[in-house]
Amino acid sequence: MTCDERQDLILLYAADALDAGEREAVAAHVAAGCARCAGALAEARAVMAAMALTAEPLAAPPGARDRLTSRLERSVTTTAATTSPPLAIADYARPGLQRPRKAWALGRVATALAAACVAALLSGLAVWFALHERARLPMAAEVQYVALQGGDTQPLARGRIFWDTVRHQWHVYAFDMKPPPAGRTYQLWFVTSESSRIPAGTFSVDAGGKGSLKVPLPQDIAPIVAAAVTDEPSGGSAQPTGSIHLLGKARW
Amino acid sequence: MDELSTNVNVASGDPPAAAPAPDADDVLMQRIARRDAHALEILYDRYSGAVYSLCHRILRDGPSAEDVLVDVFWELWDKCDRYDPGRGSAITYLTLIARSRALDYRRSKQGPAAARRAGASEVAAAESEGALERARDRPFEQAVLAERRQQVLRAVNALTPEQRRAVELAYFDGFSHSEIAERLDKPLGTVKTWIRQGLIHLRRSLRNA
Repeated sequence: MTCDERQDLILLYAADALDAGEREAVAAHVAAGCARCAGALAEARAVMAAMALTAEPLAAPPGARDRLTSRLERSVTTTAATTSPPLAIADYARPGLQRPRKAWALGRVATALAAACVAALLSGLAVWFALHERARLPMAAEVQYVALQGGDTQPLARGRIFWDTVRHQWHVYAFDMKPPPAGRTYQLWFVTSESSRIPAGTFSVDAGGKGSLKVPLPQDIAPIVAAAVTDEPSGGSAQPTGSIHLLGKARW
Repeated sequence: MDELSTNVNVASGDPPAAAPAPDADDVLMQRIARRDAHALEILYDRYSGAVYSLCHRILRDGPSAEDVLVDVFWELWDKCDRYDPGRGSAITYLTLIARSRALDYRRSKQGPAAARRAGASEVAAAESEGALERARDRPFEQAVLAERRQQVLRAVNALTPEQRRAVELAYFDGFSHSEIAERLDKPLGTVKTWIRQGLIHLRRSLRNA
Protein backbone atom coordinates (compact mmCIF):
# COMPACT_ATOMS: atom_id res chain seq x y z
CA MET A 1 0.00 0.00 0.00
CA THR A 2 1.31 3.44 -0.91
CA CYS A 3 1.08 6.53 1.25
CA ASP A 4 -1.47 7.95 -1.19
CA GLU A 5 -3.65 4.93 -0.65
CA ARG A 6 -3.12 5.15 3.08
CA GLN A 7 -4.54 8.67 3.47
CA ASP A 8 -8.16 7.56 3.70
CA LEU A 9 -7.24 4.83 6.14
CA ILE A 10 -5.56 7.40 8.31
CA LEU A 11 -8.80 9.35 8.55
CA LEU A 12 -10.59 6.21 9.66
CA TYR A 13 -7.75 5.40 12.03
CA ALA A 14 -8.22 8.75 13.73
CA ALA A 15 -11.93 7.95 14.02
CA ASP A 16 -11.19 4.60 15.70
CA ALA A 17 -13.17 3.03 12.90
CA LEU A 18 -10.65 0.56 11.51
CA ASP A 19 -10.55 -3.13 12.08
CA ALA A 20 -7.77 -4.35 14.33
CA GLY A 21 -5.49 -5.48 11.51
CA GLU A 22 -5.80 -2.23 9.56
CA ARG A 23 -5.34 -0.22 12.72
CA GLU A 24 -2.12 -1.98 13.61
CA ALA A 25 -0.79 -1.56 10.09
CA VAL A 26 -1.40 2.18 10.10
CA ALA A 27 0.09 2.57 13.55
CA ALA A 28 3.18 0.61 12.56
CA HIS A 29 3.68 2.68 9.42
CA VAL A 30 3.43 5.99 11.28
CA ALA A 31 5.65 4.70 14.07
CA ALA A 32 8.24 3.73 11.46
CA GLY A 33 8.76 7.40 10.78
CA CYS A 34 6.73 8.33 7.71
CA ALA A 35 6.54 12.10 8.05
CA ARG A 36 3.81 12.50 5.47
CA CYS A 37 1.49 10.01 7.12
CA ALA A 38 2.30 11.38 10.58
CA GLY A 39 1.24 14.81 9.34
CA ALA A 40 -1.89 13.36 7.80
CA LEU A 41 -2.70 11.66 11.08
CA ALA A 42 -2.26 14.91 12.98
CA GLU A 43 -4.65 16.57 10.58
CA ALA A 44 -7.11 13.69 10.81
CA ARG A 45 -7.07 13.94 14.58
CA ALA A 46 -7.78 17.62 14.27
CA VAL A 47 -10.76 16.84 12.02
CA MET A 48 -12.08 14.50 14.67
CA ALA A 49 -11.40 17.05 17.38
CA ALA A 50 -13.45 19.55 15.41
CA MET A 51 -16.39 17.19 15.69
CA ALA A 52 -16.40 17.95 19.40
CA LEU A 53 -17.58 21.45 18.60
CA THR A 54 -20.79 20.14 17.11
CA ALA A 55 -21.94 19.17 20.58
CA GLU A 56 -24.37 21.61 22.09
CA PRO A 57 -22.23 24.21 23.88
CA LEU A 58 -22.52 24.03 27.64
CA ALA A 59 -20.63 25.70 30.43
CA ALA A 60 -18.63 23.52 32.77
CA PRO A 61 -20.31 23.23 36.17
CA PRO A 62 -18.67 25.53 38.73
CA GLY A 63 -18.16 22.56 41.05
CA ALA A 64 -15.79 20.96 38.57
CA ARG A 65 -13.21 23.68 39.12
CA ASP A 66 -13.39 23.13 42.87
CA ARG A 67 -12.90 19.39 42.48
CA LEU A 68 -9.93 19.87 40.18
CA THR A 69 -8.48 22.38 42.60
CA SER A 70 -8.85 19.99 45.52
CA ARG A 71 -7.15 17.19 43.66
CA LEU A 72 -4.37 19.46 42.52
CA GLU A 73 -3.91 20.91 45.96
CA ARG A 74 -3.66 17.49 47.55
CA SER A 75 -1.12 16.49 44.97
CA VAL A 76 0.97 19.59 45.36
CA THR A 77 0.91 19.42 49.14
CA THR A 78 1.98 15.80 49.07
CA THR A 79 4.69 16.54 46.58
CA ALA A 80 6.01 19.49 48.54
CA ALA A 81 5.98 17.57 51.77
CA THR A 82 7.86 14.62 50.37
CA THR A 83 10.24 16.36 48.00
CA SER A 84 11.89 19.53 49.11
CA PRO A 85 11.72 21.87 46.06
CA PRO A 86 8.38 23.70 45.94
CA LEU A 87 6.65 23.84 42.59
CA ALA A 88 7.04 26.79 40.27
CA ILE A 89 3.51 28.07 40.29
CA ALA A 90 2.97 31.32 38.44
CA ASP A 91 4.50 34.56 39.54
CA TYR A 92 3.12 34.60 43.03
CA ALA A 93 4.15 31.14 44.14
CA ARG A 94 7.28 32.28 45.87
CA PRO A 95 7.33 30.71 49.30
CA GLY A 96 8.91 32.37 52.26
CA LEU A 97 8.46 35.79 53.73
CA GLN A 98 11.04 38.45 54.46
CA ARG A 99 10.55 40.30 57.66
CA PRO A 100 10.42 44.08 57.23
CA ARG A 101 13.43 45.73 58.80
CA LYS A 102 11.59 48.87 59.79
CA ALA A 103 8.07 49.96 60.48
CA TRP A 104 6.55 47.75 63.13
CA ALA A 105 8.35 45.33 65.27
CA LEU A 106 7.16 41.91 64.34
CA GLY A 107 7.56 38.92 66.54
CA ARG A 108 8.88 35.66 65.38
CA VAL A 109 7.16 34.49 62.24
CA ALA A 110 6.62 30.88 61.40
CA THR A 111 9.26 29.58 63.72
CA ALA A 112 6.91 26.86 64.79
CA LEU A 113 6.83 25.49 61.28
CA ALA A 114 9.37 23.26 59.68
CA ALA A 115 10.64 24.51 56.32
CA ALA A 116 9.11 21.68 54.39
CA CYS A 117 5.77 22.25 56.01
CA VAL A 118 5.87 25.93 55.10
CA ALA A 119 6.71 25.09 51.53
CA ALA A 120 3.87 22.62 51.38
CA LEU A 121 1.37 25.05 52.82
CA LEU A 122 2.38 27.90 50.60
CA SER A 123 2.54 25.78 47.49
CA GLY A 124 -0.88 24.39 48.20
CA LEU A 125 -2.20 27.83 48.91
CA ALA A 126 -0.78 29.19 45.69
CA VAL A 127 -2.47 26.45 43.72
CA TRP A 128 -5.69 27.20 45.50
CA PHE A 129 -5.41 30.79 44.42
CA ALA A 130 -4.38 29.87 40.93
CA LEU A 131 -7.52 27.90 40.33
CA HIS A 132 -9.96 29.60 42.66
CA GLU A 133 -9.90 33.23 43.54
CA ARG A 134 -7.48 34.46 40.98
CA ALA A 135 -9.94 33.52 38.24
CA ARG A 136 -11.79 36.68 39.18
CA LEU A 137 -8.76 38.88 38.64
CA PRO A 138 -6.93 40.09 35.55
CA MET A 139 -4.01 38.03 34.32
CA ALA A 140 -0.45 38.09 35.56
CA ALA A 141 0.88 41.28 34.04
CA GLU A 142 -1.74 43.39 35.79
CA VAL A 143 -1.62 41.70 39.19
CA GLN A 144 0.98 42.03 41.92
CA TYR A 145 0.79 40.35 45.27
CA VAL A 146 1.74 40.51 48.90
CA ALA A 147 2.16 37.33 50.90
CA LEU A 148 0.92 37.64 54.47
CA GLN A 149 2.20 35.51 57.30
CA GLY A 150 0.83 35.08 60.79
CA GLY A 151 2.53 36.75 63.73
CA ASP A 152 3.03 35.57 67.29
CA THR A 153 -0.67 35.73 68.05
CA GLN A 154 -1.56 33.12 65.44
CA PRO A 155 1.48 31.80 63.58
CA LEU A 156 -0.54 29.47 61.37
CA ALA A 157 -2.61 32.26 59.87
CA ARG A 158 -1.70 33.38 56.38
CA GLY A 159 -3.04 35.34 53.48
CA ARG A 160 -2.51 36.93 50.12
CA ILE A 161 -3.17 40.37 48.76
CA PHE A 162 -3.50 40.69 45.01
CA TRP A 163 -3.09 44.14 43.60
CA ASP A 164 -5.20 44.73 40.55
CA THR A 165 -3.21 47.56 39.02
CA VAL A 166 -5.80 48.11 36.32
CA ARG A 167 -8.70 48.73 38.66
CA HIS A 168 -6.49 50.05 41.47
CA GLN A 169 -7.89 47.56 43.93
CA TRP A 170 -6.51 45.17 46.47
CA HIS A 171 -8.14 41.79 46.87
CA VAL A 172 -7.31 40.47 50.32
CA TYR A 173 -7.71 36.85 51.37
CA ALA A 174 -6.94 35.53 54.83
CA PHE A 175 -6.86 31.90 55.96
CA ASP A 176 -6.73 29.88 59.13
CA MET A 177 -7.40 32.90 61.29
CA LYS A 178 -8.91 32.67 64.72
CA PRO A 179 -11.99 34.76 65.44
CA PRO A 180 -11.02 38.26 66.64
CA PRO A 181 -11.34 38.95 70.35
CA ALA A 182 -14.86 39.76 71.56
CA GLY A 183 -15.97 43.22 70.50
CA ARG A 184 -13.13 43.63 68.05
CA THR A 185 -12.65 43.20 64.34
CA TYR A 186 -9.75 42.66 61.97
CA GLN A 187 -8.44 45.71 60.18
CA LEU A 188 -6.07 45.95 57.23
CA TRP A 189 -3.36 48.59 57.03
CA PHE A 190 -1.24 49.94 54.25
CA VAL A 191 2.31 50.68 55.35
CA THR A 192 3.99 53.24 53.16
CA SER A 193 7.63 54.03 52.53
CA GLU A 194 7.20 56.93 54.93
CA SER A 195 6.15 54.49 57.65
CA SER A 196 2.62 55.82 57.56
CA ARG A 197 -0.09 53.37 58.52
CA ILE A 198 -3.18 53.98 56.51
CA PRO A 199 -6.44 52.22 57.43
CA ALA A 200 -7.66 50.07 54.57
CA GLY A 201 -10.85 48.49 55.84
CA THR A 202 -12.14 45.93 58.29
CA PHE A 203 -13.21 42.36 57.74
CA SER A 204 -14.46 39.32 59.62
CA VAL A 205 -13.62 35.65 59.25
CA ASP A 206 -15.96 32.71 58.90
CA ALA A 207 -16.05 29.53 60.96
CA GLY A 208 -13.29 28.11 58.76
CA GLY A 209 -11.01 31.03 59.48
CA LYS A 210 -11.37 32.57 56.03
CA GLY A 211 -11.90 36.24 55.38
CA SER A 212 -11.75 38.49 52.37
CA LEU A 213 -11.83 42.16 51.54
CA LYS A 214 -11.76 44.26 48.40
CA VAL A 215 -10.08 47.62 48.89
CA PRO A 216 -9.79 50.61 46.56
CA LEU A 217 -6.21 51.77 46.54
CA PRO A 218 -5.55 55.44 47.42
CA GLN A 219 -3.81 57.28 44.59
CA ASP A 220 -2.18 60.00 46.63
CA ILE A 221 -0.06 58.13 49.12
CA ALA A 222 3.62 57.22 49.23
CA PRO A 223 4.60 53.82 47.84
CA ILE A 224 3.24 50.91 49.85
CA VAL A 225 5.98 48.71 51.24
CA ALA A 226 3.99 46.38 53.45
CA ALA A 227 0.55 45.43 54.64
CA ALA A 228 -0.67 44.22 58.00
CA VAL A 229 -3.78 43.08 59.81
CA THR A 230 -4.47 43.97 63.43
CA ASP A 231 -7.45 43.53 65.70
CA GLU A 232 -9.23 46.78 66.45
CA PRO A 233 -12.43 47.91 68.12
CA SER A 234 -15.56 47.27 66.05
CA GLY A 235 -15.78 49.87 63.32
CA GLY A 236 -12.02 50.13 63.02
CA SER A 237 -9.39 52.60 64.18
CA ALA A 238 -7.59 55.55 62.66
CA GLN A 239 -4.25 54.14 63.81
CA PRO A 240 -3.38 50.57 64.78
CA THR A 241 -3.87 49.79 68.45
CA GLY A 242 -4.16 46.01 68.64
CA SER A 243 -1.95 43.02 68.05
CA ILE A 244 -0.54 42.22 64.63
CA HIS A 245 -2.08 39.04 63.24
CA LEU A 246 -0.82 39.13 59.66
CA LEU A 247 2.08 40.97 58.10
CA GLY A 248 3.67 40.93 54.67
CA LYS A 249 6.23 42.86 52.74
CA ALA A 250 5.34 44.12 49.28
CA ARG A 251 7.37 42.60 46.47
CA TRP A 252 6.81 45.09 43.71
CA MET B 1 -5.50 23.36 9.16
CA ASP B 2 -6.14 25.54 12.13
CA GLU B 3 -8.12 23.17 14.35
CA LEU B 4 -9.77 24.76 17.35
CA SER B 5 -7.01 26.40 19.22
CA THR B 6 -6.22 30.01 19.84
CA ASN B 7 -2.69 29.43 18.62
CA VAL B 8 -3.60 30.38 15.12
CA ASN B 9 -5.78 32.68 13.16
CA VAL B 10 -8.99 30.73 13.18
CA ALA B 11 -10.61 32.71 10.43
CA SER B 12 -7.83 32.42 7.90
CA GLY B 13 -5.96 29.31 8.91
CA ASP B 14 -2.69 31.19 9.02
CA PRO B 15 0.14 29.36 10.77
CA PRO B 16 1.24 30.43 14.23
CA ALA B 17 3.40 33.51 14.49
CA ALA B 18 7.13 33.04 15.04
CA ALA B 19 6.89 34.25 18.63
CA PRO B 20 3.82 32.66 20.20
CA ALA B 21 1.82 34.59 22.74
CA PRO B 22 2.60 33.74 26.37
CA ASP B 23 -0.85 32.25 26.73
CA ALA B 24 -0.84 30.32 23.46
CA ASP B 25 -1.95 26.75 23.96
CA ASP B 26 1.41 25.16 23.27
CA VAL B 27 3.16 27.60 25.58
CA LEU B 28 0.66 26.78 28.29
CA MET B 29 1.36 23.09 27.82
CA GLN B 30 5.06 23.78 28.28
CA ARG B 31 4.30 25.71 31.43
CA ILE B 32 2.15 22.87 32.73
CA ALA B 33 5.10 20.54 32.18
CA ARG B 34 7.07 22.90 34.43
CA ARG B 35 4.32 22.52 37.06
CA ASP B 36 2.72 25.92 36.52
CA ALA B 37 -0.82 25.58 37.84
CA HIS B 38 -1.79 28.98 36.52
CA ALA B 39 -1.25 27.68 32.98
CA LEU B 40 -3.63 24.86 33.75
CA GLU B 41 -6.11 27.43 34.99
CA ILE B 42 -5.96 29.33 31.72
CA LEU B 43 -6.41 26.19 29.66
CA TYR B 44 -9.25 25.11 31.91
CA ASP B 45 -11.06 28.41 31.50
CA ARG B 46 -10.46 28.30 27.78
CA TYR B 47 -11.60 24.79 27.07
CA SER B 48 -13.54 23.40 30.02
CA GLY B 49 -16.80 24.33 28.32
CA ALA B 50 -15.85 22.56 25.10
CA VAL B 51 -14.61 19.49 26.96
CA TYR B 52 -17.69 19.38 29.17
CA SER B 53 -19.96 19.76 26.15
CA LEU B 54 -18.26 16.86 24.42
CA CYS B 55 -18.46 14.67 27.52
CA HIS B 56 -22.09 15.61 28.01
CA ARG B 57 -22.87 14.76 24.39
CA ILE B 58 -21.28 11.34 24.79
CA LEU B 59 -22.62 10.55 28.25
CA ARG B 60 -25.88 12.50 28.14
CA ASP B 61 -25.60 13.05 31.86
CA GLY B 62 -24.33 16.13 33.66
CA PRO B 63 -22.77 14.56 36.76
CA SER B 64 -21.00 11.90 34.69
CA ALA B 65 -19.73 14.53 32.27
CA GLU B 66 -18.45 16.56 35.21
CA ASP B 67 -16.59 13.53 36.54
CA VAL B 68 -14.86 13.05 33.23
CA LEU B 69 -14.14 16.76 32.82
CA VAL B 70 -12.25 16.78 36.10
CA ASP B 71 -10.41 13.59 35.18
CA VAL B 72 -9.40 14.98 31.80
CA PHE B 73 -7.83 18.14 33.17
CA TRP B 74 -6.24 16.21 35.97
CA GLU B 75 -4.70 13.87 33.42
CA LEU B 76 -3.49 16.89 31.47
CA TRP B 77 -1.65 17.96 34.61
CA ASP B 78 -0.57 14.62 35.98
CA LYS B 79 0.56 13.04 32.71
CA CYS B 80 1.60 16.10 30.78
CA ASP B 81 4.66 14.27 29.46
CA ARG B 82 2.36 12.32 27.18
CA TYR B 83 1.58 15.39 25.13
CA ASP B 84 3.53 15.53 21.89
CA PRO B 85 2.98 18.76 19.94
CA GLY B 86 4.14 17.00 16.81
CA ARG B 87 1.06 14.81 16.91
CA GLY B 88 -1.46 17.60 17.18
CA SER B 89 -2.34 20.76 19.03
CA ALA B 90 -3.18 20.98 22.70
CA ILE B 91 -6.91 21.14 22.07
CA THR B 92 -6.72 18.16 19.75
CA TYR B 93 -4.94 16.25 22.50
CA LEU B 94 -7.41 17.46 25.09
CA THR B 95 -10.34 16.43 22.93
CA LEU B 96 -8.84 13.03 22.26
CA ILE B 97 -8.44 12.42 25.98
CA ALA B 98 -11.94 13.67 26.70
CA ARG B 99 -13.58 11.50 24.07
CA SER B 100 -11.61 8.46 25.09
CA ARG B 101 -12.31 8.89 28.81
CA ALA B 102 -15.98 9.63 28.25
CA LEU B 103 -16.40 6.51 26.13
CA ASP B 104 -14.51 4.48 28.72
CA TYR B 105 -16.72 5.91 31.43
CA ARG B 106 -19.88 5.05 29.56
CA ARG B 107 -18.68 1.54 28.91
CA SER B 108 -17.78 1.01 32.53
CA LYS B 109 -21.17 2.22 33.77
CA GLN B 110 -19.60 2.47 37.18
CA GLY B 111 -19.71 6.20 37.64
CA PRO B 112 -21.20 7.66 40.78
CA ALA B 113 -23.53 9.80 38.72
CA ALA B 114 -26.79 8.14 39.63
CA ALA B 115 -26.53 9.12 43.24
CA ARG B 116 -26.13 12.75 42.33
CA ARG B 117 -28.80 13.06 39.68
CA ALA B 118 -31.27 14.29 42.26
CA GLY B 119 -29.43 17.60 42.29
CA ALA B 120 -29.45 18.01 38.55
CA SER B 121 -31.72 21.04 38.52
CA GLU B 122 -29.45 22.95 40.88
CA VAL B 123 -26.47 22.01 38.78
CA ALA B 124 -28.22 23.19 35.64
CA ALA B 125 -28.98 26.54 37.24
CA ALA B 126 -25.38 26.92 38.37
CA GLU B 127 -24.20 26.00 34.91
CA SER B 128 -26.22 28.77 33.36
CA GLU B 129 -24.82 31.26 35.82
CA GLY B 130 -21.32 29.98 35.25
CA ALA B 131 -21.71 30.19 31.49
CA LEU B 132 -22.60 33.83 31.65
CA GLU B 133 -19.77 34.61 34.03
CA ARG B 134 -17.15 32.89 31.91
CA ALA B 135 -18.44 34.41 28.70
CA ARG B 136 -17.97 37.81 30.26
CA ASP B 137 -14.53 36.89 31.55
CA ARG B 138 -13.13 35.80 28.20
CA PRO B 139 -15.14 37.38 25.42
CA PHE B 140 -12.43 37.05 22.77
CA GLU B 141 -11.84 33.37 23.37
CA GLN B 142 -15.56 32.72 23.52
CA ALA B 143 -15.98 34.51 20.22
CA VAL B 144 -13.17 32.49 18.62
CA LEU B 145 -14.68 29.21 19.74
CA ALA B 146 -18.17 30.29 18.66
CA GLU B 147 -16.89 31.23 15.22
CA ARG B 148 -15.01 27.98 14.93
CA ARG B 149 -18.09 26.06 15.98
CA GLN B 150 -20.08 27.72 13.23
CA GLN B 151 -17.44 26.68 10.68
CA VAL B 152 -17.55 23.10 11.85
CA LEU B 153 -21.34 23.04 11.93
CA ARG B 154 -21.47 24.33 8.36
CA ALA B 155 -19.08 21.57 7.33
CA VAL B 156 -21.05 18.88 9.16
CA ASN B 157 -24.38 20.15 7.86
CA ALA B 158 -23.03 19.83 4.34
CA LEU B 159 -22.64 16.08 4.77
CA THR B 160 -25.36 13.78 3.56
CA PRO B 161 -27.63 12.64 6.40
CA GLU B 162 -26.16 9.14 6.13
CA GLN B 163 -22.58 10.38 6.25
CA ARG B 164 -23.33 12.61 9.22
CA ARG B 165 -25.12 9.89 11.14
CA ALA B 166 -22.33 7.41 10.56
CA VAL B 167 -19.60 9.88 11.53
CA GLU B 168 -21.49 10.90 14.66
CA LEU B 169 -22.02 7.31 15.70
CA ALA B 170 -18.32 6.67 15.26
CA TYR B 171 -17.21 9.81 17.06
CA PHE B 172 -19.74 10.36 19.84
CA ASP B 173 -20.71 6.76 20.47
CA GLY B 174 -17.43 5.05 19.72
CA PHE B 175 -19.04 2.44 17.53
CA SER B 176 -16.94 0.43 15.14
CA HIS B 177 -17.75 0.00 11.47
CA SER B 178 -19.52 -3.24 12.10
CA GLU B 179 -21.51 -1.90 15.06
CA ILE B 180 -22.69 1.06 13.01
CA ALA B 181 -23.65 -1.23 10.14
CA GLU B 182 -25.65 -3.36 12.51
CA ARG B 183 -27.29 -0.38 14.17
CA LEU B 184 -28.26 1.21 10.85
CA ASP B 185 -29.02 -2.14 9.26
CA LYS B 186 -26.77 -1.37 6.30
CA PRO B 187 -23.97 -3.33 4.62
CA LEU B 188 -20.56 -2.90 6.19
CA GLY B 189 -19.05 -1.61 2.96
CA THR B 190 -21.70 1.07 2.69
CA VAL B 191 -21.03 2.28 6.20
CA LYS B 192 -17.29 2.39 5.59
CA THR B 193 -17.88 4.50 2.51
CA TRP B 194 -20.16 6.90 4.36
CA ILE B 195 -17.62 7.45 7.11
CA ARG B 196 -14.67 7.77 4.76
CA GLN B 197 -16.47 10.18 2.44
CA GLY B 198 -17.83 12.14 5.37
CA LEU B 199 -14.41 12.60 6.91
CA ILE B 200 -12.84 13.50 3.59
CA HIS B 201 -15.49 16.15 3.11
CA LEU B 202 -14.94 17.49 6.62
CA ARG B 203 -11.21 17.62 6.09
CA ARG B 204 -11.62 19.54 2.87
CA SER B 205 -14.14 21.95 4.36
CA LEU B 206 -12.06 22.66 7.43
CA ARG B 207 -8.92 23.16 5.38
CA ASN B 208 -10.72 25.86 3.46
CA ALA B 209 -12.46 27.40 6.46
